[in-house]
Amino acid sequence: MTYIDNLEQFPYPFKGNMYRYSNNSIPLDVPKSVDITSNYEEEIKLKRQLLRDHPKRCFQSLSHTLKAQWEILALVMNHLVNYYPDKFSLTKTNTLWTFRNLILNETQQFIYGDESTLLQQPLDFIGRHVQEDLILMSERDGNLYLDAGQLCFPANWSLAFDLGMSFREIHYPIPGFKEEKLDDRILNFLLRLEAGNPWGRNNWSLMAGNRLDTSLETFDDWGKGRKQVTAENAGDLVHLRVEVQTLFRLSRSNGILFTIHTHLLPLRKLAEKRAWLEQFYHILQELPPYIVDYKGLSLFKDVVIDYLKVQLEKEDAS
Amino acid sequence: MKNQPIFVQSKRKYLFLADQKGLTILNPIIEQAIINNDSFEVVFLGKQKEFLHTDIAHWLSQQKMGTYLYVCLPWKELHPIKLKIEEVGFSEEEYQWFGHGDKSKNVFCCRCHEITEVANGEVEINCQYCHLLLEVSDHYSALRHAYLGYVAKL
Repeated sequence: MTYIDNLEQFPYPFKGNMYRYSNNSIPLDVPKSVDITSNYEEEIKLKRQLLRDHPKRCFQSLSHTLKAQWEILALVMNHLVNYYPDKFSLTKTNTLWTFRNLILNETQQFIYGDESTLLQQPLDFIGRHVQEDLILMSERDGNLYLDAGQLCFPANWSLAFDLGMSFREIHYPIPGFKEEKLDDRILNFLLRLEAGNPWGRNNWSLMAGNRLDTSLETFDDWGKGRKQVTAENAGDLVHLRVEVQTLFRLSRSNGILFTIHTHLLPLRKLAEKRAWLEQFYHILQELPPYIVDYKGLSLFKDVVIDYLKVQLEKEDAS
Repeated sequence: MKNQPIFVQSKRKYLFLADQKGLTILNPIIEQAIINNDSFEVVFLGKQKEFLHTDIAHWLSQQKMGTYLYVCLPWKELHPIKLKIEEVGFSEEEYQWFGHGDKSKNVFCCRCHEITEVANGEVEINCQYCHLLLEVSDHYSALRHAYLGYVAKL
């Protein structure tokens, strides 16, 4: 997988020299759920290949979600044509919609609300035109439930297992999440989300390798990379993985659309920016063991710290 | 689920669904219904289980609002019956359930999504379908009725 070559475009996630789990959401300056980058065609090709080869791993939905799925399709299509009018178009004649993806030279006509006019479920269809993973959280009885999703590039979790779980159940494995009442705080925040006022946040991890499809289902394969990190290869092998996430309240179904756009940057590129290099070095050094362990860094954190230190010393010497 | 069956007063009718051992466990509740001269029905589940779920669904669907159900079965048989009870429309406030005998748990394979049934307390198992060595976690999915099994060794 290629990475963003222009450092200015990389969504560097850190503020300060310390990292802890928190509700770090901020209101979106631009209310858009999707972003088209230079990797678009490559990532869409990979997404569609994963959906074809591993449909149950990459798409799950409960039967009551179709109306909310149509709502997501409409929202994402509107964002695509509004923010990228040279790349997408949408015409509506009564209920007959014609969607054109000019990048891929594809046209799809369908009747809005009629699943039989699409080859896939609405969420699955529109997900095949955007780089983001798309998750639907339904609200009922004062709680949020993961009721549908198209997930091709997960950071080591399983959509098939988490389907139907409440917000607290999904986050149960995160150490300290419940004890520090972070689950309650974030759930309460999400329940107060309003239509028309979307929020966003960034999440991060370190990857030994450059795969986007780091699903739990394939961890026995890609997880081995963690044992192969050395001082010599860390700069190219290890990547900072950042998820740009957005949260949109759906006005009709009252669900929440949760989008995840994953970006990768090799440490070698990160080290080109002195401020990032220095800050990330301090963050990793200070990171408490429970976060190191949950983020899967235990096997190679020390090697990465040594690599970053050497890069800092090189800069200081030059 | 409660540890011991508790008699809930003033219900229109009481239903008891159990095997032989389950009836023994529910007996104090049945006796209480008899003492109170309450209306009740007992369905005994023997070894013939071929038509069990259809029959139970039909029986439960004929009951009126205000009916209260007690279920006591081997752990292995409990989950599908609970699904049937909820499918028919009983809420959690309308029934109590109890398991007896050996307790097992289902493990969801993170790689192939298949379920392997294991004895309670097992820490590492092999998925019986793809044979991956799994570490049994305490992360539970009600939808899959299973605990997540993670890759145990890289």
